[in-house]
Amino acid sequence: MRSLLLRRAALLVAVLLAVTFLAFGAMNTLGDPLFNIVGPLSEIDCDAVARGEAEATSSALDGNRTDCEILAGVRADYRLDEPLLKRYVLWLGDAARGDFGTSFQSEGVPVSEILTDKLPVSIKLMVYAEVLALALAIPLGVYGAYRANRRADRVLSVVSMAALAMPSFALGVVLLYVFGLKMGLFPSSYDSSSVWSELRSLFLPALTLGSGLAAGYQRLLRTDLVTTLQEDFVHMAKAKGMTDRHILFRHALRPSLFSVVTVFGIQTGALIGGSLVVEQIYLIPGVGRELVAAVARDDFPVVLAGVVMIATAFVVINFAVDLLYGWLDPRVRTQ
Amino acid sequence: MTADVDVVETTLGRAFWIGVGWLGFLAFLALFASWLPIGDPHEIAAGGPREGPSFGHIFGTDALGRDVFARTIFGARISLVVGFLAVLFGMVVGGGLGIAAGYFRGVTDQIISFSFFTLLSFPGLVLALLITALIDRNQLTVSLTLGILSIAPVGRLARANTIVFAEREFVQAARVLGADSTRIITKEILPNVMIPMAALALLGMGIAIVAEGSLAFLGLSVEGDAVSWGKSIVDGSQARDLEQNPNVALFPIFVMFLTVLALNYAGDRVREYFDVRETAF
Amino acid sequence: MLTRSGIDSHGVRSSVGNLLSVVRTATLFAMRTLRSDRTLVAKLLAVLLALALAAGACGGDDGAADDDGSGGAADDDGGGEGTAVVPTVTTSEAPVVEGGITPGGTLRVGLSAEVDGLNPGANSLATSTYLIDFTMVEPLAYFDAEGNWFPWLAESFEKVDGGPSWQMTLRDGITFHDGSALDADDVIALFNAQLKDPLISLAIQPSYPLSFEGPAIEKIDDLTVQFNPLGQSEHFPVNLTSQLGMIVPSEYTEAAAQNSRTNQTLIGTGPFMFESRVKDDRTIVVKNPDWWGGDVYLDRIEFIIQTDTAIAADRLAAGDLDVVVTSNPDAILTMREADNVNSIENLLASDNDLMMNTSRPPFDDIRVRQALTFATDREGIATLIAQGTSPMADSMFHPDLIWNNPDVVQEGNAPELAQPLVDSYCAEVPDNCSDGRINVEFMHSGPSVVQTRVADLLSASWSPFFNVSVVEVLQADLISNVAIGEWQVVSWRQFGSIDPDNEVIWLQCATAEKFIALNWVRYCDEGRDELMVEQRQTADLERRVEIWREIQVNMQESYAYIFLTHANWTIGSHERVQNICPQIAPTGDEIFCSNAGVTFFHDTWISE
Repeated sequence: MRSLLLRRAALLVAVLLAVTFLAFGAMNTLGDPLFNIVGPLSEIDCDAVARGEAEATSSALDGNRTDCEILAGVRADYRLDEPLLKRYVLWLGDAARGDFGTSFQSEGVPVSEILTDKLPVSIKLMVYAEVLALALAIPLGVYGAYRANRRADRVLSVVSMAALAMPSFALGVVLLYVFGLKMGLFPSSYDSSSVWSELRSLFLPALTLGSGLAAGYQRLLRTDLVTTLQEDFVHMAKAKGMTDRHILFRHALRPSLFSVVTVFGIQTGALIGGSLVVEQIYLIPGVGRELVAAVARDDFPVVLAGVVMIATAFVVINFAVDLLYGWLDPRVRTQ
Repeated sequence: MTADVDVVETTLGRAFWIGVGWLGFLAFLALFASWLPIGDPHEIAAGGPREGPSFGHIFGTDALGRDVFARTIFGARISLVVGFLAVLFGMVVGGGLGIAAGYFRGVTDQIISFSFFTLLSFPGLVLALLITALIDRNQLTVSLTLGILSIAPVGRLARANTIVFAEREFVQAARVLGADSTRIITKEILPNVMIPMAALALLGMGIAIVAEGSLAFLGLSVEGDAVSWGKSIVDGSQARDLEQNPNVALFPIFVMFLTVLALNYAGDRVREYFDVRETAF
Repeated sequence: MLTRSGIDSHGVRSSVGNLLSVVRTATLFAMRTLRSDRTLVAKLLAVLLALALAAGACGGDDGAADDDGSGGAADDDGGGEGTAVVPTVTTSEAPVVEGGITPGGTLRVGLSAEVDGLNPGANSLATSTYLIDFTMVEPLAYFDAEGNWFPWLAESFEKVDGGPSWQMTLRDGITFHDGSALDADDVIALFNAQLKDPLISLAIQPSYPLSFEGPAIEKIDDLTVQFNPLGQSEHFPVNLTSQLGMIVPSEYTEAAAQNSRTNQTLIGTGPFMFESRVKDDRTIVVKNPDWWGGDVYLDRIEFIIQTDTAIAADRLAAGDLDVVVTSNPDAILTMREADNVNSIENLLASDNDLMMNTSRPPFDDIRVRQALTFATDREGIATLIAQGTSPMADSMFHPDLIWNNPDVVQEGNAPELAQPLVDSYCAEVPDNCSDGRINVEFMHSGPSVVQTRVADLLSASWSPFFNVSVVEVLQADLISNVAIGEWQVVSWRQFGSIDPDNEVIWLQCATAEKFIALNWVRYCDEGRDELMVEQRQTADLERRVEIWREIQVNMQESYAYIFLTHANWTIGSHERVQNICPQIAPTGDEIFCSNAGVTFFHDTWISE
C-alpha cells in the first residue's frame, strides 16, 4: 500500500509539472507577453531602428531615453529574451512558495488572494451539484433496477439519455428562462446576502451542473445493481424472507457503487469544466468565471494559478478515488 | 423485484436507425442548404425583427430579422464539421498513439500513457479555453483544438484494446516469427480496435458539438459572421430575448439536443452490440 | 450570454481602468517578482496611460461624465434653435406621494461595470465610479440644471489680473469623515498626485505642460489656492467638476501613494460615508449624520454589481433593486414597459459612431470613406440595435442643443452612390481591392452579443462594395490599437460634452500625428484648428455657436466619422424611490439631473 501511495504521489507531482509547463508554454508562445506588459509600445520595430532604417522615438516622459531603450529594459527585466524553460522554473519557484504573483489587472492584488476569494462559491456550487446529482441518481437508480426492463425503467432510461444529451449551457438557458424569469421561482443571479438566498440562487446552477452527472450515475448504478441482484446472496436473502427494501439498500447497494465511485473522480473534470459555463450563465463570481475573464485579457498570473488549482484538485480527487476504490474492492488492492 | 437479466439485443434496434436517419437527414440539409429553399442565414431583415414562427419563417426571426431556420441549418454545417473533424483528429492521433503504446509497451507506453494522463488532468474546457483564446479562430483551428481534447480518451481506449488483442496467441506467434510490426498492427490490431473506437467516435462527436456550444458561450467559437449552433444559442440567450422571443435560442437548442441524443444513442448501441471493453490492465 | 462578461451595451466602454490596470499591475508584478527599476516602470506607465486617459475623456459607455465639461451659457438665444442645455427628459410620471418625507431605508443601486478603485487621485473614474464617489466626496464646482457651473465645495473662483491664473477659495468649517478639516493642503495634495499620475496628468497636461516653468498650483492661504494654467480660459472652473476637483484628505492621498489598497476605500466631505467594499460584489455607504450640506434621508446605499443590465432591469421591476443606471436598449425597454418603474432618459450624452483611420490605406482616400458612409445601414442600427431608444445622430450635437447645425445631415443608406466611388478607387489602387471590392478590416470590442450583431449588420450592408473582415478584440486592446493607429474602421462612442470646448482635444492637428494620437482619426485641418482656438478664447456665445456650426460642416466634409445614434442614458427607479431629481446642492442650486447617468442621492428617500 505504501509503495502505491508513493508512486501515485510521484505521479501527481509529475503531472502537475507537466500541466503547468503546458499552460505556461502555451501562454508565452501563443500569446505575446511583451504586448501584455507594455501595450502598444511593443509594436515599435526596434530592429529597424538599430539598422538605421527608422527613427528612434524619444520616450514621452523621459526625454533622455528612446522607446527602444525602454523596450530593451523591459525585455531584460522580465527576461523575455531568456529561454522559456528558465522563466518557467523561476515561476515555479515562486509558485511553490504559494506566491503566484500579482494579477495584471487590479491594483496589485495577489493572485492567490483573488482565487481564494472566489473559491468558496465555486466549491459550494460543485458540492451542491454533486449532492443534487446523488440525491437524484441513487433513488432513481435503485428504482430503475428494482423495476428492471419494465415501463418505469424504460422511461427512466429515456429521460437519462435525454439529460445526457442536453448540453449544460442549453439546459442552463432553459432552466433560467422557465423557472427564473418566467415563473420567478428563483433569482436570476447569485445572491449572497443570507444562507437561504444562497441556497435559492445556487439551486438552478447546481441543478444544471448536476443533471448530467445524475443521469450518468443513475445509468451506471442501475446497470450494476441489476447485475448484483443476480447474485446468490440476494437469492438467499430473499429466501430468508428479508424485505425488498432491506435487500436493496442494505446489501445490494454498496457493492454496486463501484462504478459510480470510479466514475466520480473522472466526472470531477466534467464538473469543473461545466462550472465554467454555468458560472457565466448565472453570473456567479467564482473561480471559473474569473478564469475565463483572465484568459480573455491574457492575465497570465491568474490563468496559471487557476490552471494549477484546477489540475491539482482534479489529480488529488482522482488519487483519493483510486485509494477509496482500492479499499472498497480487495481485488484491486493487490495491483 | 424481478430477476430479469438485461438482454443484449441481437440487432442494433429501431431507435438506432431512427437516430442514424436523423443524422443523415440533417447532414443532407446542411450539405445542400445552398441549393434548397432554406433562405439566407446572413440576410438582415429578411423578416421583421424578433418574430415568432410563421409560414414564411418556420423558426421565426432573430433580433436582426434573420431567419432562424436558415441559421440553424447553416449552423449545422459548422457544428457537424467541427464535431467530425475533432473526432477524426482524435482518432488518428489518439488512436495512433494508443495503439503504439499498447503494442510496443515499455518506455513508449509509459511516455504516452503519462501524456494521456496529463491531458486528462486538464478539464477539457479549460484546455480548449487556453488554446482558443490565443489563436485565430476558424473552423479548422477550433476543430483541432477540440480534437486535442479527444486524444487522451480515444488513446486510452485504443491502448486498452490493443493490449488485449496484442496478447492473443496469433499475434504473439507472429512476433516470434519475426513478422513486421507494421503489418501486424495494420492487419490484426487495427481492424479490431476500430470498432470500439467507432463507438467512442460517435459519442465523441456529440461531445465535440456540445463543446463548440460551450466555447461559443465563452465567446471563443469561430470568428466572424460564421453561423454555428453555439453562436445562435448565445445570441438568443439574452434575458430580454429569452422572455420576448425564445425561439431564437430554443430551436437551435432543440436541434442540437436531437443530434447529440442520436449520436449518444448510436454510440451506446454500437458499444453494446459489439461488446466493447472499456479498460484493461 | 456574452454581455455578462461585463461589457454592457454597444460602444466602447471608457474603462480606462482596464488599460490602466493592465499596465499598473504589470508594473507591480515586475516590481514584486523582479525588483526592477521603479522609475523605469513609472515612465513606461506614462506612455501607456496616455491611452487610458484619452479613452477616459473620450466618453465611452460610462464615460461622458469624465469630460471636463464646461457649462454652456445660460442665456439661450430665441429663434427656436434649441437651448444650450435642456433639462433631461422624464418619460414617466412619478406619482405624487401623500404625506411627508419618510427618512431611513437602504437604496440598492445596480451598476453595470465593476470599478477598479474609488480614488479620484489615482483611478480613472467612469459613470459607475462617479455614482459611488459622489455620495462620499464633493467637487469644487458642478453644473446646475441649466448647464452653468456653480461653486460647490469652493466658495468662489476668481480670475487673477485677467488671467490666465485663477484663485479658488474653499468654504470654511467643513470637515472630512475622518474629522480632519478641509483646507488648501488637501487640494494641493490631490492636484499634485494627479499631476504625477501618468494617466490623469494627461488630462491636465494641455493646461500644465511639463515644459511650463513655475508651480502649477500655489497655496495662498489656508483656504485659498491659485491655479496657474498655461492658456487663457473663460471657463476654468468647469475642469474641476469631475474627478480633478473631487477633494479627499491629504492623508488619504498620501496613504494611497504608499499602498494602493487604499484606493478601495474613500474619505470625503459628502452626505454618505464609506462602509465596506467587496470587489465584483458590492460597495456600501452609510449616512453621514454630520453633513454640512443639510439633511440626508437614506440610511444606506448599496451599489451592487450586475454586469448584465438587462437582468438588472428585470430585478428592478421585480423589486430586488431600487435604481439601475444603463445605456443598454434592452434594459431601457424593460424599464419603460414596467409599470412600477420610473425612467429618466438623457439623450444629450455621447454619440455612437463609426470612425475611419485617415492616416493609412484604404481610408486615407476620401473616396473610400465616402463609399463606406453611403453603404452604411444607419437605419438598421437605429431600428434593430437601438430598437427605438435612441434617435439617429446627424452630428456630434443633439438637435436640442444650441450648438447643433440643423443643416448638417449624416449621409448613409445610399448604396447606389457607393459603387462609382469604389470603382474609381479600385481602378487606381488595385492592391487594396479584390474582385472589385475594397478590402477593409472592422474592429470591435467583445465578447459582446450586441457588438457582434452590430458587426453582422454593418458587414451585410458593406459587403456589396467591401471585403469585410471582422476582428473582435478586448476593450482595452481596442483602445490601444486605435490610439496607436493600428486600425481601419471601428465602432466607437464619443463626444457629448455639455460644452464643446472639451471636444477640441479630439479634433486638433497637434494631437493627430503623434505615436499616440488623441485625434483618433488623425485628421488634421489647420483652418479648423484656428476656429477652435478662437472659440476657446471668446466669451461671445453667438460667435462660438457660429464656429461650432462651421466645424460640423467641416467634419461632415472630411467623412472621417459616421454618426449613428445619440446614446440614451437612463436612470430607472422603482416607484417606492422618491426624488431622484431634482437634487439640490448645499448652495441651493439645483444640480444638473443626469450627467450621462451620473446623479446624486442626498435628496432621495424611500416611501413605504
